[in-house]
Amino acid sequence: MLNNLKIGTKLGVGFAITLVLLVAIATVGTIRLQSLSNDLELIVNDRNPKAVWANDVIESLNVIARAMRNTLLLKSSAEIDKEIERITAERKVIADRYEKMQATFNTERGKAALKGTLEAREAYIPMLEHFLELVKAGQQEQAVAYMLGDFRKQQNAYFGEVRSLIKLVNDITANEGKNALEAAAAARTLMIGLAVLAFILTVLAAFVITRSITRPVGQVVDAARKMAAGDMNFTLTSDAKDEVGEVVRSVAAVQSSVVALIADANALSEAAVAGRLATRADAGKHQGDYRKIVEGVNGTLDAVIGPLNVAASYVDRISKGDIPARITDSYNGDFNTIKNNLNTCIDAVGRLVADANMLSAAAVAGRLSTRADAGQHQGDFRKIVEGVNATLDAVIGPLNVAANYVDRISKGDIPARITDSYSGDFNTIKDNLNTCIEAVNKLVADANLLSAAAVAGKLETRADATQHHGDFRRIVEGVNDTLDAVVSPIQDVQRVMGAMAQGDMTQTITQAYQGDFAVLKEAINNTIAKLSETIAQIITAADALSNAAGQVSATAQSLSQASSEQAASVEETTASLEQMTASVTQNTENAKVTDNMATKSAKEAGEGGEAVGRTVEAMKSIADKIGIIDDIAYQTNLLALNAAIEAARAGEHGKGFAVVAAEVRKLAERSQVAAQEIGELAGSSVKAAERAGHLLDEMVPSIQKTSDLVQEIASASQEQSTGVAQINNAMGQLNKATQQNASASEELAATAEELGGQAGQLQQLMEFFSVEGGRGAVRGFSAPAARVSARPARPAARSVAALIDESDFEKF
Amino acid sequence: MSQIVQSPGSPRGATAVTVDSAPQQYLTFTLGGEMFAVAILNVKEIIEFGTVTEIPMMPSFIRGVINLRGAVVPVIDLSCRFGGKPTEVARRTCIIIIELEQDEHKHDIGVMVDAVSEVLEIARSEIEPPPSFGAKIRTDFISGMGKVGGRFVIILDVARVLSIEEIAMLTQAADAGGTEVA
Repeated sequence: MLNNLKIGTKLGVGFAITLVLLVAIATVGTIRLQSLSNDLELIVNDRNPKAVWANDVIESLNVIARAMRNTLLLKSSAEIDKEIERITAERKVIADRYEKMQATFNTERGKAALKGTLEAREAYIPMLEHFLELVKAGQQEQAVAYMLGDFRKQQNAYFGEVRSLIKLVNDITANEGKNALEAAAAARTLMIGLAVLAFILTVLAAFVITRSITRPVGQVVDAARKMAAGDMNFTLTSDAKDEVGEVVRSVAAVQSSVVALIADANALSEAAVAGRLATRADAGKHQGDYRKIVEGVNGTLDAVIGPLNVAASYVDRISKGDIPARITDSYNGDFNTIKNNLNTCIDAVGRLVADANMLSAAAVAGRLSTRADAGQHQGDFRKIVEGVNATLDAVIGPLNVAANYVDRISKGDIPARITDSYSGDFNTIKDNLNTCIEAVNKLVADANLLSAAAVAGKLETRADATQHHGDFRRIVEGVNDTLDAVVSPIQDVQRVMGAMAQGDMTQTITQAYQGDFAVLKEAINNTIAKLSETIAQIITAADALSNAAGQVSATAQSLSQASSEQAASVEETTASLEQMTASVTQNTENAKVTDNMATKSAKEAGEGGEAVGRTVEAMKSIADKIGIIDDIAYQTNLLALNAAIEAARAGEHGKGFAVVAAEVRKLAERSQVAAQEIGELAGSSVKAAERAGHLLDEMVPSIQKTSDLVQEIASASQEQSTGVAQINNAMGQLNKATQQNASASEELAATAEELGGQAGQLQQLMEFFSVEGGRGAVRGFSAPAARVSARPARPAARSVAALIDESDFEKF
Repeated sequence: MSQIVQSPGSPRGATAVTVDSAPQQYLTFTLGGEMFAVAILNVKEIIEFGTVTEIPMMPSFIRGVINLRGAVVPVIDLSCRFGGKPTEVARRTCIIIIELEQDEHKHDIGVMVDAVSEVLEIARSEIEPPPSFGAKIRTDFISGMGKVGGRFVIILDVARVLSIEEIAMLTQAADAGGTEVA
């Protein structure tokens, strides 16, 4: 396991163990020392003061006891008081100590002991007080007896309690000191144990680490020595993962690299000796400077082999006729000599080849006078060039003559026979040329004969093929056949076209032809068929057009009539509207007049109301005035009665007077009655007038209302009038449109008749053609007859025609 | 009294030819809807109802006194005197000054009535004695029932209407007035 760690980690582990133990020792020591320190502090700061305070109490009690005795021994009261003051001071000291002790005692035992002490003190204090009273009272005898008796007993008990308290405190302190000593001893033992353990572990770790480093290093040293001596025959292995293991493995890698390099060097040297210069070591197998060494060896081989290969390939190419370019690469030393010689060779061969090329190119181009310059070449190369030039001179003479003849023949200028004499192959050329001139002459004569005949229209003329041989005979036979093939179709076409010119579309070409003539025949036949079909369709269409024109005319007529009727009804409507306008205007005027009248009535009714009011006032004043008359009549009556009384009292003398008085009284009575009647009449008049006024008042608002309504009627009539005017306008436009409709439909009818006439003309034109089955002729004659009979009858039988043609209309 | 009114005095009196049946003149007036009459010779004059000075400590039928040309005249509410309601003053309310003769002294007394009607002549034959009962008023006030136009007119006995006790009281009032006048 240790071998897998690095040296640093190993050292770290060793030191870590040591450090952990060191820290453990230090921690344990510190904790234990702290505990001891706490114990000591407790003893010094808590236990010891308690013991001191308890001893102080005993000390003070002793002082008090001595002072008490002093009070009994002393005589002077001043001194006795001084002693008593001492007692008081000591009691204060005791109280102070008890307070401190009560504050610090906190264990159960301690509190119990302190409580016993306090109980003894509580019993002691009254006795001391009693004694002091006795002393102050000067009763010395009783004081002595008391002090030595009860007081002493209680004092001793008090002392006992305090001493037991002190003992308790001391016991506790001793116990704690013992515990502290024991803890210190345990800490010492533990620390010593830990130190020993740390020592052992450290030594062990140092040994193991050192051993793991030194052993492999020794192996490496041995291997390095062997490598320095050139002995590679050893093996180094290590599976350790630390730095030393790395060193071992690196040395082993060096060994293997050197071994591989040596193997490659051996292989290359063996291959060079065996002439396999292409052999190379694989540089990719090596690394770093080793690779550079291998690559250098490879480069050296390349430098030697490159020029050799170039020279070999140049010589090879020259031998194969492939003249390479000059070598332009720069080489050094011997390589340069080789290069220069090669370049000289390439130049000489190149010039020879260039001259040969030039001559052959000139011969190919026909420039046979071209010669090469033999002075440029040397040695055997010059001899070659001179030979070639001589050969060319011998060939060119006859060739020029033949070329001239052939040239003239090809241009149509047939020359005369060649009469010069040549020898060998050149004579054969001359004879053949003469034969050719004769054959061509004959052919030209026959061709002229045939063409002259064809131009003159004599297509029956033929040339005699037997006068010619070979291909020339075939030419003449071909021309004859061509003429035969052309003449027959032309005659057929002539026949068919002549029939067509007469309107007979039934003729066709029935003979079988081939090639373009078959195409021509098909075209003419198709043309006739298409043309006859088209003519038949035109005839049919002309019939249909004639019918349709008749129907359109009928429809236009009915449309025209309907438009006329519409125009009449529109005029009636317009007249009605004008009447309506007049009545609306009348209404408006009437409404205005009514409005004025209503307004006036309302005003007059108001005035009538006022007049009635004034009447009522007048009536009331009349009634008042009549009251005055009534009063006057009453007073007159009274006066008459008094006069009657006076007359009665006057006896006989008053009789006349009595009569007068009676008359006066009657007059007064009558005037009273009349006054009363007038008053009643006036009252009833007032009532009637009031009622009239009331009625008038009621009338005024309703008249006002009537006036408003009439005004509304007037404005509504005004609007009606405007609307009617707009309707009038629209009716005018409608009228115009209807009239336009009528004239347009009449024009339509005329156009339709014109169309019918044109259709008839078309039918007559089409009658000229006679097509397959003769259908066109029958149709062509029947259609115009029907049309002519229909046209005069149309105005009378328009409605009937319309009824009959309902279905046809929908189709169109 | 009969000789005062014995003369016919009117053209209508052609029917009354006898002295016994000679007509006598009466002043008629209305009071509470009933028509009464007094002999015209007892009537001094008729005045319109004017200002009446009320007198304290008087019975309700004495409305007060009026100043008749300087003389103090007591006014009796006849309706009240007859046990009815006090007369309400209206436009036609009148006071009839009646002259009474008592102990050789003449006294004027005003009687308040609703309205005076006219001076009538009633024949004796047309006067019936007062009824024993049935009328609203005490019969000793009535001197007779005159028939006028088919209906009865109560003719009052003025002396009875203004009885002794009232007269006495009136006398005292008249004395007070008389001394003043004297």
